[in-house]
Amino acid sequence: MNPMMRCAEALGFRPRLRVTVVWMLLILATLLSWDSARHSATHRLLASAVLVIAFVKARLIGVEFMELRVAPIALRAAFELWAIGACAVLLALYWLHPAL
Amino acid sequence: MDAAGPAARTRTHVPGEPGLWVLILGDLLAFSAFFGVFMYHRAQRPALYAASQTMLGAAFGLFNTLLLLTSSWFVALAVAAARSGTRPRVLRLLLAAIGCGAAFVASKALEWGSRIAQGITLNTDEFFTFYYMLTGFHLVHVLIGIAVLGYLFNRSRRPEPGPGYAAVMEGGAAFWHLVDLLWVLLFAVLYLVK
Repeated sequence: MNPMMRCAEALGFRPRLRVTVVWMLLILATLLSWDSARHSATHRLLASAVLVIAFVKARLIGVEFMELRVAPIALRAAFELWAIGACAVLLALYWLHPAL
Repeated sequence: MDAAGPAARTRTHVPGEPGLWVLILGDLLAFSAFFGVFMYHRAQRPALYAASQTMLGAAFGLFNTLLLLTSSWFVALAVAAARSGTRPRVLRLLLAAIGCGAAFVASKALEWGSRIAQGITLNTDEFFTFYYMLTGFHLVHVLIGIAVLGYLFNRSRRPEPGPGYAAVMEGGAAFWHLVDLLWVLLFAVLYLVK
């Protein structure tokens, strides 16, 4: 089997449907986050939710579009750890400032 | 053992090639460090950052995000089409992705242009220094990404794309998705988080 076929098999059936569903989820999450930003006042819980949603989107792009879901566990784990760690650090830094 | 062997090999697979992932993970760390520095400074002067942020056109940011997400979708579909061997479809999808990338660059130029016309530059305040630096550094990635997609397009046009074609398609696609991923975070950190 050639490498392309092997990979297609590893990714499972209906890859086009799968990436299309992922794309729709990403668009939906983007519109929801954007809508929340129309509130002009600072709302720290809302802002935190927007940040978490951004990392969920980033993770979805990594796991689905970049195909990390079929990658060796070490590579996948490095990515997942980055996503969780970076999100946690940014949230902590955000909450450092006193409320406006 | 023999029966399990080939099946086990198909279960995991490094997309593209391992060296590329050093670059990708390094880029993710670098950008998250920049975002961390931004968040730290923001916490020192929240009022200034909040005021300057309102001068950003969030609609530009939204449009840019939709463009890059859609281009990533086209690229993911192009990789799927390459696997099923439908080459004309690969070419159409790559061209669509390149079009979205070019539209992103044009939109970014308009956005910067309108900021500069308002008199807002790199030195206006701390927030805008971060804004120009982060979006500028990201724009460099977009330009490299467009060149990579152009290479994939040319490679896919060859009558016989060669033995490394699968890895080249996956690796190039992964880089473009990285450009998309970084923008998604940048959009939230700079434009949305209040």
